[in-house]
Amino acid sequence: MVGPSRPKRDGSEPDLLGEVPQPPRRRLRSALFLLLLLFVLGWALEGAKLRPGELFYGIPEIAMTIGRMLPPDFTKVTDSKSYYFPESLSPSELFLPFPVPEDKARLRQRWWDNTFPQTVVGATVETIQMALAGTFLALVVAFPVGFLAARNTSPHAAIYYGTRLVLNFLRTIPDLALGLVFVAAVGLGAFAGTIALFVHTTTVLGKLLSESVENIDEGVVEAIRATGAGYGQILAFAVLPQILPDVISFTLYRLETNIRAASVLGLIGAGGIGYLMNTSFRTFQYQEASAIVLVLILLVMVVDYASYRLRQLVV
Amino acid sequence: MRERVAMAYQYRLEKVGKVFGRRQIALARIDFVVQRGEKVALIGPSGAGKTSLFRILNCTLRPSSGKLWINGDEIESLHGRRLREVRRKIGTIYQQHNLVPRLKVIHNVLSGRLGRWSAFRSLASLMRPLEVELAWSALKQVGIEEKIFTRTDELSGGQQQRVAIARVLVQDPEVILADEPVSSVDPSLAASIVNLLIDIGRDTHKTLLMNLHSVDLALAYFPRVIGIKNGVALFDLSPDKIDDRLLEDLYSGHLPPSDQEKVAHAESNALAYP
Repeated sequence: MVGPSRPKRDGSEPDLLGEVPQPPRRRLRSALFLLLLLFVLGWALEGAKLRPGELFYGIPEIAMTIGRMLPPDFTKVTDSKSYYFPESLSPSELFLPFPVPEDKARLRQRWWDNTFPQTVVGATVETIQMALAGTFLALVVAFPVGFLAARNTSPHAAIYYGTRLVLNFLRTIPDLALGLVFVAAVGLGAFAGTIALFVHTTTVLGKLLSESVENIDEGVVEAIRATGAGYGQILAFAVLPQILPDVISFTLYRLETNIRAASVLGLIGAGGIGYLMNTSFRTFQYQEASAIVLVLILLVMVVDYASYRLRQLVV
Repeated sequence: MRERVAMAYQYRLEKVGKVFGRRQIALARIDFVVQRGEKVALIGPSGAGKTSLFRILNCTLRPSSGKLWINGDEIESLHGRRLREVRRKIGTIYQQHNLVPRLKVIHNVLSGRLGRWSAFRSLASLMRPLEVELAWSALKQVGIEEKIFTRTDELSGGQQQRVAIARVLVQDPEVILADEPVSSVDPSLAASIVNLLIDIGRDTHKTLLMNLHSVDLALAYFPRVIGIKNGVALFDLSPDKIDDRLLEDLYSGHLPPSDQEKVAHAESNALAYP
């Protein structure tokens, strides 16, 4: 402990520190606060039904489950049989978008629509498509909404409070709950999942963008307005250039989040790779499930890295 | 007949006041007339209301009381397109430059054209700059034409101030308002920038109003100096009539209020004055 240097005893130096006001002491309040905190924590641990003992005895069980997952079984990914390629179609007829006779075209359509999304690669591609589509649509809507929900660019106070209210309300709904709603509304599949991602991402991006707009340098806005510019011109010349880095980095960040969200949405049948993973676990195909988990991890890592590099480029 | 008399004035202010919030008095009562082509310096302690006055003069802030005529137009009655038309004829140079740091110099300069451009033209210019020759000649006039395609935040403070001047040049207004244009550049540069602005004003017959921190510059370069303190004009004289006693009065007993600027800014944030 290094204390403040004390003045000399003989009084040869004036007691400077004597005049320094001491920080106020709040011992009683701190103690009470700490007690309350401990109480709440204890209450939470109690409610969470933590039983460390069972966890300890369960370790062999966990090890066994992990053991059953090893080694990962990649046959579903690598074996061409699991893709059920239609025998009457050559690979070029199947994969290249050239016109083919009508019966073959129908066969091709059916394979792309129904068979391919059931495969691991197909479901992974679908996950990426869902995340991309959901994020893009969300950006298209959230971009104007962000201006409406920002104090300094909203055309009217009523619009400002209205959009904020709607955004705040919708944002409280988790995307999984939205997924359940849309699965009930439009049926199982990627469409339901994509709308769920779109709605949730719109609320989050709208909020983030509105905050970004509120943080701009107002002096620039005033300078542009003073040149005789109209509302749109002020947005384009003074506001947009200032928020553009945020727009890009928020969107990429949401894309990362949505890849993860899209893979979870499969659990409720809203498309994506999560559905396959769930099926594998439910049917005790642990080795297959672990392969899918690994594919998922790889996917998330690739997207995270790609968006990191993109962000570095722009910002 | 009345109209014609009014047209000779650039600015006419009658008991103009501005109150922020409930009690933050930025301007108490300002009366003056500025003729077309006149060069006027405003001096006074910080917090005296000079910046608020300039924001009223360039129509980005409405006065709370009093009347303001610009070129014979009563400003209170103006809205929308006609208000923007008046703003277009007033170019402002700010102490903080107020340029977009991420944009290239040319876009910041060309933003002076916005009052003349359609929305579509403005967007097109952000993609690929229009009227490059105009921006070039303006930058050449302030001596930094080689920076035309540089990002603005890569320039020094003095260079950015020149970009702000070039923006006003392409705006080609009738009035130039310069709010502390030299307080963020070093003293040797300050005189040359004031000189530049005075030359521009004289060559193109523009009215020039300048807020100045430096009393010396104001007295040396301007034929008319207005001293502002606590929101009122303390004096309005030619520099040879301004003596040390007047200046002492102007700057004495003044402690800049700490929260005044904050309130002033908070109120001006919204686009409530479109």
